Amino acid sequence: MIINVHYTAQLKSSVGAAEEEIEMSQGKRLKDLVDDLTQRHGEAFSKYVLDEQGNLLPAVVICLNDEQVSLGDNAPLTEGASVMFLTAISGG
Amino acid sequence: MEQRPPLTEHEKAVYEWQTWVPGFGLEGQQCLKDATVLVSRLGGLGGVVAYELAAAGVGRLILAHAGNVKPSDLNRQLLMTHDWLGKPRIESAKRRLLELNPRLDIVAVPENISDKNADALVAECDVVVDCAPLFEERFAMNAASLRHGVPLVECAMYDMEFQLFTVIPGRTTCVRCLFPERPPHWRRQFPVFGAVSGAVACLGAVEAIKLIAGLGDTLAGRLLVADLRTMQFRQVQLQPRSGCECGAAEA
Repeated sequence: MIINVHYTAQLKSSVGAAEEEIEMSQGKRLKDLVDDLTQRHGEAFSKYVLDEQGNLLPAVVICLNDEQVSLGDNAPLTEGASVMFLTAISGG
Repeated sequence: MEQRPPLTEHEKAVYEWQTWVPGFGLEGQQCLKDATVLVSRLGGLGGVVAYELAAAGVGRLILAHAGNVKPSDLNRQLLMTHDWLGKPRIESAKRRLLELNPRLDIVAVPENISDKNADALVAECDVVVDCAPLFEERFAMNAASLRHGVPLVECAMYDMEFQLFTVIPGRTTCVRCLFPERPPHWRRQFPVFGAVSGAVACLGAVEAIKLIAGLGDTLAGRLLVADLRTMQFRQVQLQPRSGCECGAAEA
């Protein structure tokens, strides 16, 4: 199945793409996608998303099909799902 | 909201076009006149928020911003001018706003929002528009808004992107729900165009007007995420965080 991944702000700059299509096998879940992206992009992805223990950084918001979800809930992914990683930004 | 004098004939003439907006009318205009809005920082975001609210006829603006005008402010901070370089930002902002709307009551605070001043300033207003760069400021405003039950409009930008959402205290996702801690990789200086900060600022001003006048649907509980590089706009349904100080998840 194809998962559409979207990156924002500093994470987009670090990964070097605003969005990409990730092919995953059926039955995979959100944590599997995070693992896949960590392997694919290395520190460019992980340093903005995960802490040293591999837990989601508190300042990152994950959205599945435009609904905020918890990584701990480890939602199942389906064909064509949209997953967005939002990093915190502010004013100035 | 404070009860201010009824709209004058001059004010009715100035705001005539917006009083034609369905669901707003003279009653909505009186609500704006009676309202007090706190705008935190008057940079690329807050300056345009304040300008739009001044133009719309909000009665009182409490404006908080420390420091002097720098050259690097001038690509986006539309209340700051070249002739005011090196002078206090808050004075430049006040001067420009009163040129636009001399009836405006301005409380000019030459300091940024902190844990020390947030309660006193937030308690005086009907809506807070948060345009601050530092998360310490944003957390202080969020906490004070929760304590005083004042709605909070959150504006943020980076590069050609922006994020916008509204907090109804105790009912919808607050700043700490979304970002419980200061983001470790966030940097004080970042790329941005003035046209991008101005875009989200105008939307933030619209949110404030809607909150005051009871108009339309606000972004309470929803996050608007936009990438102006591709002109993609998305709305995300937010989830209040269980255990957050705001109590929205348990409400």
